[in-house]
Amino acid sequence: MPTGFQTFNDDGSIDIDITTRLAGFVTSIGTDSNHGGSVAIPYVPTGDFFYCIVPPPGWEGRQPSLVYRDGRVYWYADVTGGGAPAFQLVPCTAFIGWS
Amino acid sequence: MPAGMEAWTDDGAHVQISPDYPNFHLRHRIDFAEPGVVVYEIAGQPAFTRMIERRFQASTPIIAAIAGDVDKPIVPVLVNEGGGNWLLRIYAGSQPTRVAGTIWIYDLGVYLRANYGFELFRNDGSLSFSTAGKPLKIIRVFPIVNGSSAGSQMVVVPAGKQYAAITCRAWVQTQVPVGYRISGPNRNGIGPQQFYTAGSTALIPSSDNAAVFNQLGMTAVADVTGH
Repeated sequence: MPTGFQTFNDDGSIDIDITTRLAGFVTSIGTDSNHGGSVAIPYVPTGDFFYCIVPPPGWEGRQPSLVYRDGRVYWYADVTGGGAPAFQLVPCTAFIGWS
Repeated sequence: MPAGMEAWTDDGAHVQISPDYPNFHLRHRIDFAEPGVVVYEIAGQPAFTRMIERRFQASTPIIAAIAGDVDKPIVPVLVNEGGGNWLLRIYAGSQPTRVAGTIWIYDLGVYLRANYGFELFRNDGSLSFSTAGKPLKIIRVFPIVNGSSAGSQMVVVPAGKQYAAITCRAWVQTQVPVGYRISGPNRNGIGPQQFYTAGSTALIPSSDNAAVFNQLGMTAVADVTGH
């Protein structure tokens, strides 16, 4: 028998049950302008790594892409065919987690 | 010691709720269907990319999107104007006659409350989570590696559900000398259907397109049923 909880909408339909995956953000981090910069993350992964970038005011694009690997979150610019960073990263706030 | 409760999915792999987490809930929904302005066209051919703008307030917005017109992808591009003010440029590509679709904006905090459902508070008394507040639900996450986003990254939407796409850095191609192709959903996400988070691309003009590069990032599928 499944365990867990269910919640319902006001029409009686199920809203959330044990199969629902919510956005499990665990913390926010600050990224810098270094391609390949990283920070240690003291959380155990639970599911698929997921993130959301909050760009600084007055800026469009050139934001980092994040990767979780072995207890750290790394940030990267897009890269050219030769593997070099294609642009200078803009420092951003990122919410990270697993879903 | 953490206060409150945690819930996990039945496979034990996904934390559903924790008062220690930053939880995102629905803050705005924007429906749109209008011609907008033509931002890219080739002489003698139909307009290739159209764009509309919307402004809203939020602290840390996450944007989920669907397209209203089949095979006319919608690409939202977010600009932080400071002070909690945001500008959203919404592009439609592939020779659209209008910019049509829906954007759901999720933000930290709870913006809707009701006398039903489930609420969770932190030990300082602040509201952390509310089912009536329409929390962000993630169905699946797809990484984008070296530009290979998207082609096969699909989920099956069940009948009675609607899914939307969250795109984080899905610049799939630089097209010299025009600009960038950015992927976006090109369906309405209403089940039953196969829904691609990055079904096709909009070509967005930019003067800053000297380099051809490989794109990284992530797309995710959100359950927006009833939101």
